Amino acid sequence: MQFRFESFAEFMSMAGHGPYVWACYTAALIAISYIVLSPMLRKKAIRKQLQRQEKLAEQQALQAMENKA
Amino acid sequence: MAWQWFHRLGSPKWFYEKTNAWMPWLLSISLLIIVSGSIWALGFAPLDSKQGNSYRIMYLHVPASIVAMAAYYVMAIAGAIGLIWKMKLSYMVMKVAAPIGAVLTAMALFTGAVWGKPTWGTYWVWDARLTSVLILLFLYLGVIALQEAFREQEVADKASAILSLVGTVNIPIIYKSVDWWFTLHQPASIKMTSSSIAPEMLYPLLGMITGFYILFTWALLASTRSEILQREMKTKWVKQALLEKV
Amino acid sequence: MNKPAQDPLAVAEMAERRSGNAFMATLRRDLKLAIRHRGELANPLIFFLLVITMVPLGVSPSPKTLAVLAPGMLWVVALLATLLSLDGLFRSDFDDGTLEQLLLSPQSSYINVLAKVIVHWLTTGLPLTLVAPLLGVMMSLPEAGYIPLMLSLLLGTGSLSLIGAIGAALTVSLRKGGLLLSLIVMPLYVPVLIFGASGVRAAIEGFAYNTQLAVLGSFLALAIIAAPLAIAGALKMSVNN
Repeated sequence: MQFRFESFAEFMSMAGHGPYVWACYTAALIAISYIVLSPMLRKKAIRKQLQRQEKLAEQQALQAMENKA
Repeated sequence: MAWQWFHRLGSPKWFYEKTNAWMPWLLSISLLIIVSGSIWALGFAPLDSKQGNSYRIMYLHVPASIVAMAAYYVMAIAGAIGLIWKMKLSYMVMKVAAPIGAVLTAMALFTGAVWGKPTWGTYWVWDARLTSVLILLFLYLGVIALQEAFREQEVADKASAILSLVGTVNIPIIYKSVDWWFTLHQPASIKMTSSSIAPEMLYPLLGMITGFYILFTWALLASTRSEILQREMKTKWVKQALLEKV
Repeated sequence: MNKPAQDPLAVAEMAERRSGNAFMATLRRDLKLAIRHRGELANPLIFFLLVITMVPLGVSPSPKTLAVLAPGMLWVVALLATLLSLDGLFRSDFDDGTLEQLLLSPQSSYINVLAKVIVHWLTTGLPLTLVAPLLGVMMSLPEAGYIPLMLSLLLGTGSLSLIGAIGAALTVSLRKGGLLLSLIVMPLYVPVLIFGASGVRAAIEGFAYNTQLAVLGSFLALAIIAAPLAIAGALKMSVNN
């Protein structure tokens, strides 16, 4: 197995087909990042929402205690 | 006893805890395969005598279209299991499969169109493969739109399960019809993939297909896990699982 | 009738007669309703006519150009006209609760649903087929195309009604289901459109078109068997919503 291009510049230009090939690989990179990141971000958002709810519940409990006192 | 695992599968909590350990492995293996496969495809695979370097797009287009198609079947089977056994978890898998499949379909469409420019001299040709992929995208968008349209999750699940089942019956018919239509209108033109492919070109392709399948598996599990958290947010175990780890 | 359920054959026969009656009753009721709302009956036809009028205005009035477009255009517009009529298919029955009664009734919902779809076809697909030759004249359709156009529409619109009814059943409980309905149904129409239009084109070019008609017929057979099941399932889901 060997590298099929003489130089890095040639690797980038791919004998004229460079823009097409690289555009596709960039698009794939974007698509894969979206697929990988979206469930992770969603989990993060759910965790934040839960934390906020928890805090609110704590505050309410505190307030209720104060009101009683 | 033999059916115990099946019943357990119905429990989102069991599923969440069971898959916990697999997730980092699946992701790193799939990314490793895809990255090394891409480097191989870009720099080391031999030049195609007819299409030159542009054929290197095949290593993205073919895996994306194959897995996009498989994703539709996964979605429909999950929907059918949900309809038959009223399994909540199965509906969740069905729901999250649609956007992943749609992204893969869009990727297959984009790479196909860009590949067309150096091959046919134009970005869009009503070629059988591209047309079928476009219709597959419409089918995905329909399922996603239907899922979004209902306010109640239970109804949305049932509706999109029925629609994806109808779509599954239709997909082979659509693909065959488009194929037939294409041969009618466009006799021989350059085919995107040659049937006889040199092994040196084939190995990275097989690698990429495997990598995409594993990535899809990971994404399906990961999205199902977030969906579980979302739907079971009020339960104790979700609170414990999410808040203690921070 | 006089002997209660003992002979299984008699029971089966009675059940058959009853579901046959249910089929005819639904058919008759829906037809009566359709005839009472005569104005709505004409709408798909007027739509068909209007869009076909737009084609020469938008593209070119030259008969040569129109003749090339005619088979595909007539088919696409017939498809759109069917699509637009679908939204009302179950709507009024859903709103006044008839649908729920229909699904609760002891007769198989398969039969009832099939009767409803047949009425839809009788009030849209069949009239569209009958006026198609007239519009063919407006589109300068070559002479060889008229009979295949009518035959392919006759077979094809049946499948269109059946497949479309699945979408109508899924979206009937939604207030704004119209656009969504088109979105989910149209991709499923692709095979019917391909074979319908290609049959007409083949006939114009002087080839045999029985392959296309046979395929359209098999689509229709498949749709008659499978679609009512999906429609009934979707309606049950919508009613319980």
